[in-house]
Amino acid sequence: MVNRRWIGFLMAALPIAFLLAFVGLPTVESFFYTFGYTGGPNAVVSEMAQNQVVSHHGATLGVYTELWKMASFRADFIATIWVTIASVALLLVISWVIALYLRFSDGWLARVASSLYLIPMFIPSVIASYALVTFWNSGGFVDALAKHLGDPNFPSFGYTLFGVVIGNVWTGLPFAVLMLASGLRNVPDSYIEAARDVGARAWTVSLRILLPMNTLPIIIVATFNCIGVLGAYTVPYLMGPTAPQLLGVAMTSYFSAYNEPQQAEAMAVMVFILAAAVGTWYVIANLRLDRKSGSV
Amino acid sequence: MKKRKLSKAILAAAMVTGLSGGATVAMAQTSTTTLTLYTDGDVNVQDLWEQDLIPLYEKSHPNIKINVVFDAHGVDSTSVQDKIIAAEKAGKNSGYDILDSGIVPTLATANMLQKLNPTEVPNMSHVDPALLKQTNDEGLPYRGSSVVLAYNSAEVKNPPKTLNALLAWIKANPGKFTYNTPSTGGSGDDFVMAVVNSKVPKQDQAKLITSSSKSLESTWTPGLNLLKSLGPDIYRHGYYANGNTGTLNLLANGSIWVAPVWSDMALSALQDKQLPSTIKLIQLTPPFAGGPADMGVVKNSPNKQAAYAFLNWLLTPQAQTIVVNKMNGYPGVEWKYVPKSVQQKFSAIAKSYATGWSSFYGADLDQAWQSTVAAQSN
Repeated sequence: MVNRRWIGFLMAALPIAFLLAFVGLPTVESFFYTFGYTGGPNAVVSEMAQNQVVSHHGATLGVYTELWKMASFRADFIATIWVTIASVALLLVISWVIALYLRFSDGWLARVASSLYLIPMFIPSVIASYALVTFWNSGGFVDALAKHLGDPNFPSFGYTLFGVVIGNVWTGLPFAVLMLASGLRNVPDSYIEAARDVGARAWTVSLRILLPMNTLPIIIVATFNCIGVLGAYTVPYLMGPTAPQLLGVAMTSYFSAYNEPQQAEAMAVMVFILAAAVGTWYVIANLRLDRKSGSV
Repeated sequence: MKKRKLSKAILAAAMVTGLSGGATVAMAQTSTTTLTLYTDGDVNVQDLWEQDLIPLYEKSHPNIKINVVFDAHGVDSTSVQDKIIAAEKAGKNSGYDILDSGIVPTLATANMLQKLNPTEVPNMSHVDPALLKQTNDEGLPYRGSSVVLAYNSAEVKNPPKTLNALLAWIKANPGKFTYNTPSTGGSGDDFVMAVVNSKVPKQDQAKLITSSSKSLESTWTPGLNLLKSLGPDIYRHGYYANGNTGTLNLLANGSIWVAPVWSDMALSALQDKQLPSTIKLIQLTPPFAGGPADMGVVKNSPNKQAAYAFLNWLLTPQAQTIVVNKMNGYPGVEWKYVPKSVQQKFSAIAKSYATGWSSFYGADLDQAWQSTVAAQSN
């Protein structure tokens, strides 16, 4: 028995040790670097870096305050928040509608749709972004169609923040629909029929029964996508405007092009704090739901 | 078969002793020196080394073996750079002998590479001294490229021939010009540099090429403001392409008519029909800056003599002809040192290019551009 426990511990210890060594330590090291610690393991990276804030005693918030003083960084930060909220909101609405359709329709169209929504999963985001930009850009399909229909001022979304939102919705769709559709499938037909028997309309059924019974999948979709979009690189790099840049793109520029790894890592810390806040909300919501259902 | 294996084993043993520095006279005849060459960039650079230059060199130098470490698009270049700095600080061998990468000028400005001199690399004297000065004699240009202006001849009959004419053209043809963000590619970077430089006082222009002084950066403001004022007339009211290829794509699909491009990339794209034949190239007077690709020798390399010999060979007319033809680019040596036939083939661009600023200013110019020029658009 004792032996087995040890084996279990060892099996868990290996991956944990691996994570600590290859992810944990570098993270801690960079974290200290953003507070001005340039010695020790940070000696090599700080050798070539530009515009560093160095602290000789204790920690300094210098890098963070300097970033906040820059109008371009503030614009990047606000744009990232805006795109994240818009992407997640739009994604939830669209995937909810698709999931509802899949739950209640049974025709051949529904069967086709139930496999179509998975397509984005199999298309690399680089290729999808490029296709979306070509499609939505001025001179692209949508633009040409609008001109033919007599609207010469139709906005083209390539290279705009809204274009990034479209790209994020595209990449997030399969996972979101998968989660929501399986959540909806778990709602017994008898509940819905009972509600219909007493005269509830589709809208009421959806709002009073399906929505409350699917809080967890919705929270999972929202939080996971939130965290994904916050640090996204490919979609905003290919579809976004030159400025403001989303933080994922800005971090890369600061890290290599501007040769300011300290600033890039400070941004990463900020993104981490945002993601951690979203993650905390997820954990709390989860616990509350468990308590409601009586399992904790 | 057996015999072959045996001779290989002997060779391997000889290599080991050779590397450890304990080669005896008898062994020296068979000992092989292995040079490790780190190179990044696109597949064309990989092919240049692996299919053309190295087999040729190894054939005429049987005791030298060159091992290529290819890093596509330089995704690992920062960690290689860190590794070399760390090895240099610890006084150890980094495992690399020769570098062909964008990290060379960066390492050279920090004096992290071996200083080269004409006694060990005699052909160095055929290289433009201004380029050597930029890297403290630690980087050796073995090929180059220049930024030129590409235009769609179907739409533009009289392309601008000077920088001022180009700026006037941009204003007169709104939405038909763009360049890539300076941080993502040299062609946009050189355009930005050319415009900013045109507003820098004469006496400071030369200093930007050779010195590294933060205080000079204040001279950039008028030029950056000029670029900012172009914003509304740039493609999509201020969209700047991502990367050199981004610009070529916009030219190819007709979104824009005029753009600064790398001569070698555009010539190759025209050859492969990735650009329509209506796209023509022209060099402005005075020309845009060019960029040499620098080779460097790592300070703690145990095979420095072999590395010098190889670099020297790279600058011979034979090797330079291969480089120019393969890359559609400029030679590392001055044009007069390449064979006449090659000069004639590239007569349209076989001129010198302007020398760009010291790489010291690269990062700051990228950032200054992003926060002043890009930030106001959209």
